[in-house]
Order: sequence, then C-alpha cells, then structure tokens
Amino acid sequence: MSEEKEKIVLKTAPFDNRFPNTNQTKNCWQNYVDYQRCIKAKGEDFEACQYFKRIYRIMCPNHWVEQWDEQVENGTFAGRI
Amino acid sequence: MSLVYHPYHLVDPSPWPFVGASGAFLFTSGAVILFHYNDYRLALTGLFLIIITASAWWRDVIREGTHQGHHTQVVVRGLKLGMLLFILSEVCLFLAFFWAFFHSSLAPSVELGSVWPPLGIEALDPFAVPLLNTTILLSSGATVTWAHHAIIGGPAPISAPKGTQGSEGPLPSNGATTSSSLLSTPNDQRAPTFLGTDFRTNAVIGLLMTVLLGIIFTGLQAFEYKEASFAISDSVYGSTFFMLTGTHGLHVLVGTTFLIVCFIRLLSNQFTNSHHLGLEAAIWYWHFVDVVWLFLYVFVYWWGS
Repeated sequence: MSEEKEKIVLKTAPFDNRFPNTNQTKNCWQNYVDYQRCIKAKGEDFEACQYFKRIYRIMCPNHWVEQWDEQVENGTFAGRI
Repeated sequence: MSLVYHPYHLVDPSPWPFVGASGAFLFTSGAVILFHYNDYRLALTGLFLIIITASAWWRDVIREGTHQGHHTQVVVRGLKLGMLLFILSEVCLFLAFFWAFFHSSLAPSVELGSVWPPLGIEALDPFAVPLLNTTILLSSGATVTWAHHAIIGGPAPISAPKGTQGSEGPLPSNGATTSSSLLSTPNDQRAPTFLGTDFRTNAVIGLLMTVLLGIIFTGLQAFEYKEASFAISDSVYGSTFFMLTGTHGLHVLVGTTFLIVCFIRLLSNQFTNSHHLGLEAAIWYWHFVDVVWLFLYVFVYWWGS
C-alpha cells in the first residue's frame, strides 16, 4: 500500500496564547498586520512571512482580507504597518 | 394668609409644568429638524419656552419659600431629597456615556487600528489646558465652601416674634416673620467678623470667585474645542469625547447659572445661617459637576490619551 505517499497533512492555525477568548477577530487582524509589517521589512518573497499569511488566510473572513488589501493599497488601512 | 394646621406646602395651580413639557417636546422635535434640515426655528422656540419656564417657575419657588414662608422643615426635607434624587439621575446619565466610552476604548475595534486613541486621532495633551481646568474646578469647590461657611457662621436670624418659629418652623402661619430673619442686617450689633471683614462680605467674595472660576473653565473648554484637531464626527473617539465633555460642559453652564442666581439672592439678603436651601442645592450640584470632571480628566483626557 502507498499510505506513506498519499498522506495529506491537515493543519489549522494553532492556539495562540495572546488571544484566549472565543472571539478571534484580533487574532486574524494581528496576523494580517504582522504579515504586512514582515513583507515591508523583508520583501514579499521572504519565506518566514508566509507563516503570518497562512494564519490570517485561515482566521479571517475573505471579504475582510479583500477590504484590507484594498485599504493597504490606498494607504487607508487602520493599522501601524 | 389663612392658618394651616400641618407643615406641608399645598401648591397653587401653575402653568409651568405644562409650558415646560411643551417646551421640552418642541425642543426635542426641533433638534431633530435642526439636525436633518438645518432649520433652527422650532428648536429655538422650544429652548425659549424651557428658559421661560425655568426662570418663572423658580421665581415662583423663591416667592413661596423666602417671601411666603412655605418652606417648613418638612418641605425642606422633601426638596433636599428631590435634589439628591435628581443628582442621582444625572449620575446615571453620565454613567451611560462613560459606559459607551469604556466599551469602545478598553478593547478598541480593528477598524480603529486596535489602538486608543484610534489611529490618526491626535488626543489633547492632558497636562496642558485640561490640567489647568482641573485646578480651576477644584479651586471653585474650595471657594464655594468658603462662601457656604461664611453664611453658616454668619449672624443667626433675628428671633421670631412669640408664637411663631421663624422660617424653619413647622407652622408657616405668618409670612412676615421670615423676611426679618435675614443674614446680616446692618443694625445687628452681634455681627461677627471673619478674616478682618464681616461674614457677608466673605460670602459675597467666595461666591463671586466661584462664579468667575466657572466662567473661566467654560471659556477654556470653548478654546479647547476650537483648537481640537478632531470633531464629533471623527470615529467613536470623537463621538464619546464630545458627548462626555459636551454634556459636562452644559452642566457647568447650568451650575454657573444656579450659582449666579444664588449670588443675586445673597446680595438681596435671602439666606440665613440656618436656612439657605437654594444655595445648598447649588453647592451639591456644583460638587457633582466637579466630581464628573475629575472622572473625565482621569479617564478620558489622561488614560484615554
């Protein structure tokens, strides 16, 4: 059997001690901001930045991300990047 | 005046409750029209009726209490309780606005940048004019106590004629006795002195300084509003800031007016050392406004910046 080969790894965002409450809005938002700061400092191709992106893609509703991307582009995003 | 065998004040029919309620209704509707259509006529009409009612109704109360002697000990107790309950209701009003402030500022939403003050809001420096205003209001609390103690320590009312108990007596049988029990009649040889001058002068100076400090406070707040880099439409920060400080400012205006009325009544010798309910109510109100400012200063101006 080819069990070893076809094994798919499913990983969601781990528990984050900074956001212990049910409402995970701030978790999503913080990772989005961290990603923006990361790529600002290290460039979009910097591998470690992808971790933040993966988390916020998991945590955030898609339309929030679309809206924030638009705001970042226009320079109206309400976060310190 | 006919003799009554109970200490209660049975009020005469008066137009002011109806006129006041009409004014409040018109002012509320007028404010809606003002905000939506920028037409101020109905709001001004309502405000006019409210001011007319306030002036005339309290004029009537002064006549009933000071000149007709209806404010017996029992009536005074009721009026004091009423004032305290009114101030309690004011506490609830400010509590509601403070609740909104803490709701928004303790866990600022992501739309604000998760920071307080929100990103882009330049809060006022708490150690500039707001600190000065804190010292001004605290000083006014001291000067009003000075005035109050000058009145308490002042000459006792001239003892009422036999068979009556003066303005404090349970039987308001003769209104004429109350008008003689006034503070510091010129011929009173017992008139004591305090700080090199008589008690009455101390009370006048203390109360005048309190009123002036209140006016200076209002002026400085107006200056701060004019200089502020944000408006009431600038995020929930502007909303909570101007609702809280604006409501407080209106209360300072009302408190100053109340103290000015007391000042005029003091000049016309309407307060005795044991009966000066209007002044006491004004002092309570002023201290309440003062305490609200301390909360505003500590939480909105200082912590909130």
